[in-house]
Amino acid sequence: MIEQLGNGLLLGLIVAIASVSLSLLYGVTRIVNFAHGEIIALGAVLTLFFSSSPESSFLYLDRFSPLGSSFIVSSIASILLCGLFGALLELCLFRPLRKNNYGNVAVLVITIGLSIFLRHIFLLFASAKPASYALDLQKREDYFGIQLTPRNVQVLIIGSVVMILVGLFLTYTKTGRAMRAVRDSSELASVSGINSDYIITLTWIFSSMLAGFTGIIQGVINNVRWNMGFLILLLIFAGSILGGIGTSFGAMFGGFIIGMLVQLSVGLSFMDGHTEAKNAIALALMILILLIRPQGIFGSKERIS
Amino acid sequence: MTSNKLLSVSSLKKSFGGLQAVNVDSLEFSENEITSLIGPNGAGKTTFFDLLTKFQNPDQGNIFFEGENVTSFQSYKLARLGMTRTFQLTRVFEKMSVLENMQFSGSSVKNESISRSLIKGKSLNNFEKELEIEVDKILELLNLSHMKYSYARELSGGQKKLLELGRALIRKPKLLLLDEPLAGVNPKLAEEILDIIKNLSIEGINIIMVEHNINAVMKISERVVVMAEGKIIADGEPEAIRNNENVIEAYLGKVNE
Repeated sequence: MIEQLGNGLLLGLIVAIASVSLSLLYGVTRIVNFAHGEIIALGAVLTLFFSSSPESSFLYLDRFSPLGSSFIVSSIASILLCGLFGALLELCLFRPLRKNNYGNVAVLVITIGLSIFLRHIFLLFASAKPASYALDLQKREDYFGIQLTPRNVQVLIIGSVVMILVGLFLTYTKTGRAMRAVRDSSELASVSGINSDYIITLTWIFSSMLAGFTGIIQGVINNVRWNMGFLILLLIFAGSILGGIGTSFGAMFGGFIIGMLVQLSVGLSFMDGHTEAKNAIALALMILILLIRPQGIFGSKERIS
Repeated sequence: MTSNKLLSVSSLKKSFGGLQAVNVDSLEFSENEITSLIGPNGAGKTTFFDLLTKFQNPDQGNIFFEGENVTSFQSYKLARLGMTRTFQLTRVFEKMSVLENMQFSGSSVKNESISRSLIKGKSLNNFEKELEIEVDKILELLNLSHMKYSYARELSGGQKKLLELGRALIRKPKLLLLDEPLAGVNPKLAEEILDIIKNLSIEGINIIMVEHNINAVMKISERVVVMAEGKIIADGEPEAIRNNENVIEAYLGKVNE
């Protein structure tokens, strides 16, 4: 089990960041976004598109590298484009739906459709084979008994810094506070002078950029696949619910626990040769915890009055 | 048509299906008044509030705030102009502390831009310090000091009502629409809340309130407007309203005679 600790930390980090972005979006917009996984994949795919070597078979299109194919520059460009994509989704799709008072279930089904649509767009432009970024291969080394490559360590550090920054942003900035206000009660926020449409658009941008960032680090740690976002989506939902729906710190924590459990369960002896079933134990544990604490680990019981 | 009145509406109409929920020809509210809006359940009082604050759009008619036609404005713009409201079911930011609720009301209007929110200038820091002193004073007044760092969801129903008024106190809007401020509140707290409302008025906040507690309405209001079936059926000083035949028949009942 211990040999999975390094992988557990990495998956935990990925699921944690993705859960925060999903949970924030849900909190502010009340949209259960099944297409969130595809925004994650978009970040990874765009980065590959900008930076991969010409021999890469992942994209049928010729390599597009006005950015000089630097991995860092490509990543930043992809994250920005993910933000733009989030803004477009809000402005062209979800805002008109909201103004026409579409029900939550209708919107939910629309996001499922969007997810399938986007996933197959990726498949259309890329092969079904996984691809990797053009980064040199690194050997795993021993860090305090945990096996990680130096790049994995960099990812862990950058990811943790991003999570801390997100936490600080939501807690201490006016915009973060406004997001929390809209999440709490959009009516009260609007009579307090907050333009909730503006805040919702910002949330889409912010959440999509975070999702894109998650996809890139997932691509660095594992590889880039057309359906990578979809494969991880269930874990992200599980993480958000486990932490307590609509609480950012809860989602962070819940996501981390879920990712960690999934990876650690691979190391269990009876799982030998059954790694495909690794989600089972983590999700069973999630159900168990929710039976005991229905509001999630960090969620709070509401006063009914 | 412009008016130098605080708020005026003309031929404001809203219907739901076949039901004419609000049909107000003309109504004006002037400064420095506590006005109560009374009427039977379903008279259209809350819908009227919703139309004024743009939680619903009127089918027709115009709304003027300080002489400006604000009919097409969204809620947040009206709030920034200084017109805000409370809700029948008390709303506070449940997931924020009492302090944050107050800070939020005291400062949210002044800056919303990202750049300014990321880089806190010295003046902003000072502003927040002064704000907290102000918050402490108000919480003291409301007997909520001991709950300052508690989450608002931990407050009782009555305390939430107080916090709601506290938010108004720190915000100092020009016009505050109160939707049943005394609903479900014990008599002692009701007295306190009435005192606070009077205080708000003295501080220069104009108040229009919907309320069913008729004794409180008569005691506190300088003007009473009576609605029934979406229309204004009476408008005047409390004493005149109390003796108005139409009002007795539609709302007050014989007991109050």
